[in-house]
Amino acid sequence: MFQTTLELAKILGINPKRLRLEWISGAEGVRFAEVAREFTEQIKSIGPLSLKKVA
Amino acid sequence: MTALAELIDSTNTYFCLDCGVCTGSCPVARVFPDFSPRQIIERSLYELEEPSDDTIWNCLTCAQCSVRCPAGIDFPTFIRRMRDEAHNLGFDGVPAHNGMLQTITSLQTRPNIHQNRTSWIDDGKIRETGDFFYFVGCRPYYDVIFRGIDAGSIQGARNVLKILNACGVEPVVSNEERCCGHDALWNGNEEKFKQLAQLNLDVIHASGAKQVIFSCPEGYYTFKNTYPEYFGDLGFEPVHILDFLADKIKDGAIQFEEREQVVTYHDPCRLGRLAGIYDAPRELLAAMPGIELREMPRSRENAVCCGTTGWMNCSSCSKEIQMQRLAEAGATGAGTVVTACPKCQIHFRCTKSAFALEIEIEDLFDILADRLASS
Repeated sequence: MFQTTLELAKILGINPKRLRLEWISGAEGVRFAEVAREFTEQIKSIGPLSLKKVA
Repeated sequence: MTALAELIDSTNTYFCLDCGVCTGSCPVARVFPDFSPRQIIERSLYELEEPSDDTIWNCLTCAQCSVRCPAGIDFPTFIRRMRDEAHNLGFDGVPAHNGMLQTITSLQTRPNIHQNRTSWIDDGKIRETGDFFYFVGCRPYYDVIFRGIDAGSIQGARNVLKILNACGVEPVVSNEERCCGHDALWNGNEEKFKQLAQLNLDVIHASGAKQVIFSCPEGYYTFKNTYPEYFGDLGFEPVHILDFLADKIKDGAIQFEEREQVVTYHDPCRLGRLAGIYDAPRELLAAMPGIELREMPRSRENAVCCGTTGWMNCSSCSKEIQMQRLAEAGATGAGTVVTACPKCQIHFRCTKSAFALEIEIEDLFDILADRLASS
């Protein structure tokens, strides 16, 4: 399902870097924080998606 | 006048003779006895029908009832307009595939989205501007979503382009094309339909195309019949590839290799009952040497729907209709059901894969492209 969503996002012209899937166990708190921080930075650097609606 | 009274007035529903031919003909009523077009109309005439009635979303809008109605009532349009009313009040059908397809089309209403929907083109020849526009439709999305059932959607687009190239046409194929809006319209979302249609008209006008070629019956019917209702003269001609090919075959512009194959043909409702195209696909099959067509008992205007419409309310009823239809196809002795609609192909291949059926489901234009003789 993730792969499908990724491919659909590409066709729709949505940057695939906006999507990420990681499996993190409940025992890996540090890893979770690391991924969340990294992904937040990545999204910030891409900027808002700005899908304007029709006026 | 209430919205429902206005709807009754504009679709001539007052003429209902209460004969029940609609319900007797309805493929849904045969599986779901609670669904009755006749009763929906009767309740509407007595002002008892409510937009909250969730059975209105079970209608396939396949027009099996309306082609037989002695009073000429256009029940699919009646249902479509009732769904508009229901949708505006917050009632909707049950979207299939978790609403993924409705979301994809909603995103396409955004003017500043730039799709990559032509990445499937390999060695096909296309142009940026020109007289012909090939309107691919939703196949690039279907190909990804329905890969698990081997839907083969994008192969169909490649083959149509191959056929057009073989006819000497290098069409415009655009990344900016949008969903034609067919499903939005039949899901009761007229606003979304209008937004998609306007964006498509802008893209086609910018290409300078005089003819827009379709292989999808829904896209063709929507452009040919519905767009003019909302936008007047389109400034170009929507052409179904079957009509386009008829002349090319007559002129001898394309020829086919001979190969033995016994097939049966499934008439899609948008192509058959709605657009009135019954002979052209049969003539095309007849033009390919070695193909023997065996008709199903329910064919042409009596062809049964492929079981679901507009990615909505796919149910046990849909599966039952599909199972019966494929059994009917198998009973002709043909090993292959030929369809001329990407959705019919998906729905039948879904049932084939779910129930491990033996029958092959092939697209008319895939067969054609496969037999093109190199000249």
